[in-house]
Amino acid sequence: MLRWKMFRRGAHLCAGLILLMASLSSLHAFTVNVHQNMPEDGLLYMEFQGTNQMRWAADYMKAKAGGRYTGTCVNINYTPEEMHYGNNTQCGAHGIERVGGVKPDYFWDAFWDDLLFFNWHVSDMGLYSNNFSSWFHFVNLLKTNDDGNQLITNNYNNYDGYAYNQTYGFPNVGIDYLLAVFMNNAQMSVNLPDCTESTCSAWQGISAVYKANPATDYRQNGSTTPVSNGSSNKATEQANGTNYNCFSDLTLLGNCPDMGTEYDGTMQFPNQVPGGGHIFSGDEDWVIYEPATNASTFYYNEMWLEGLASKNNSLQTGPISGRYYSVTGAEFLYFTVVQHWAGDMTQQAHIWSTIGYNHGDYESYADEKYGVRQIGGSDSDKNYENYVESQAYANTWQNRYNTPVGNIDRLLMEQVFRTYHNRLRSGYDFMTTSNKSVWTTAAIWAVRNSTAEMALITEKAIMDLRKCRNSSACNNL
Amino acid sequence: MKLALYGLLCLSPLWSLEQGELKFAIGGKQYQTSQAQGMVQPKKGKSRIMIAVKDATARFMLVLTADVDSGQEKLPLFLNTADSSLTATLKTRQGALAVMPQVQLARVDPRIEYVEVTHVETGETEDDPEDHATHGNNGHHRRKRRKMRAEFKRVKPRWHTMDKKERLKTGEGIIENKAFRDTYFTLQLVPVLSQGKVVSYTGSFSGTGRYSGSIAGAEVRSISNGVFNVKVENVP
Repeated sequence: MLRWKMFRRGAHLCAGLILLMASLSSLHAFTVNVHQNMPEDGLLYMEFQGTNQMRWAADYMKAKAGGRYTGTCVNINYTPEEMHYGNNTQCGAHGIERVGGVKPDYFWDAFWDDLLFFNWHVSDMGLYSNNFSSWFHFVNLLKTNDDGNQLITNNYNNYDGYAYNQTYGFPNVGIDYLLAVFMNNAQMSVNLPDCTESTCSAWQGISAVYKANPATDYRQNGSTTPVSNGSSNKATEQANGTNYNCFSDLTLLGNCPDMGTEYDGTMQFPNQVPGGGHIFSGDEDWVIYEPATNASTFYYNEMWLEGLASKNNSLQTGPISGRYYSVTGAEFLYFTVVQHWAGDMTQQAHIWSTIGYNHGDYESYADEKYGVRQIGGSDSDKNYENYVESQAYANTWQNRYNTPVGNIDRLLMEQVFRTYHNRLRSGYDFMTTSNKSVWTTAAIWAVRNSTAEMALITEKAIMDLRKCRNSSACNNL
Repeated sequence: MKLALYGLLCLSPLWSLEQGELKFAIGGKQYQTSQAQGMVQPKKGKSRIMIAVKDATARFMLVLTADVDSGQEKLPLFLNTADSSLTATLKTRQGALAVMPQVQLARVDPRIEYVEVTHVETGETEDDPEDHATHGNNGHHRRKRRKMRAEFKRVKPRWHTMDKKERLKTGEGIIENKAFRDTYFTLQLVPVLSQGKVVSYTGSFSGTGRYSGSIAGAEVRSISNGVFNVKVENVP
């Protein structure tokens, strides 16, 4: 019986392949518009629905930037293939918010050495997250994966970092698994400033001048992730105990220098045994990225507040004094990039960390809807924003402008907890349904939350500088 | 008779393969290695079958992975991405290919419960806050509305009790991977057993997947004439 089924399937396969070959098509996937619209709506909310202080902060930003959509211009840095979007350069306070909102998707600042190839991305097969930098866009709140196995959550950060192989859906065949296989034994800890390999010249961050090195710069909020200076022309970590990002230690596919040990069915303790490894079974199902809150803290503290006076993973108040007066319009980009991660924090799959579970398809859907909304429009299929509802969300916020200078991670984490619980509301869980009404409900919730969240972030960014217009007021850290 | 003929046609190219040998073609280019291996690993009531090779000389890596019900790994299998948990990943100097099911059934996570709100009539009335026209102290009365009480309860997702057909129909309990629409991949496995365990697989694979040679974009491309004969390691 089984063989007869095999025969029939074989016949169907031949016919199917002919049909498939005749209907080849390509896909687009990146959510370039949602991430620009969200912070723009945040600033529009400040202008038209915000508090007096928010309107004042928006005015300060417009004055410094030279206008709403005119004045200082900044760039997204699209790849040549993406320039057809036509908005690589945008100007004024609203334009800078839009550029900052999407720019981290165009950082090429996380390089991987997977023992066969060395680059900042895997080829785009429609897998959505092919830029390794996007692995910094998660905050992992999960205590178990979908097999029910416990996950270690106390890695090298104040908050839980993103352990890639330990995503919600990794244990089973899916996109998480597919990408993990693709990136087999990849080592992330490339010390970019010391990398002399020609591929590293593609390194691209917030600007040509100020490049970030995530392996060291994103270590914020008490992170103790171990890194060394790397070695060889690729400046890849080789020392025992520092290859925490080496994927499953498969001897067939190339060995990681260090082997992990098992916890509840998966190898979660990194760097336990130098060398070693199994033919196929992963001995180190573990990779650590700094969470989105730490990446945000780098750009907010070290670049926005300190103006890159230091890159030492802690906030000093001295360099902030007077920046209220001297900061330029272009420097708004330093904090508006935080809006990207702030937007990610309203997306369930960035908290229930997974690339699968409808992650990419939901984001593409949102881009086709809210992503093409017209400002001030009333198309219920696209205009997901509602400033009155956003005001209600904003009014419930615990962390806001009056939290001590810095601490932008606290605003993001408040959103993280909201989003984590939002999946558990009936009718909001887009991760396990392809029902578009649920996707719409989740996206509307995300847009209205992000409007409030991003308005509060912009308000805080301005008020922190104002608080530090002289040193005496700034020392309340 | 038909079955025997089909089996001969399918398996005859495999008889000549040495153990470790694996061949396939993509984009008119032939790939061949003698370093391929297989593995069977138990995973929570299922068995994971992997056929994999990373040939540094030939500069390619191929991993075929299939999750099947425990025990199925000992039977001849014909798997495809339409109704099996099957993936293929290929990296070459020219580009990379990936394929996986374009629709998957979400796993039932017994810990997931939704908070559902229902509004229950209390039998009382209250001032309607939407009544802006008649409010004030000038003798007018506010419009009244029925007073409701919100009740919250925890419920299991409905799809936890749905069968596959119903889930596909409603979209509940479904994971979409649209990137892999228009792709279809098959893997045929013929095991050799010794003392109740799989010691080797011969088999074949072919189909279409998402292929890209750069970050610029991907296209659907076919991988064909895949055959292998691999020694299998059983992971405890």
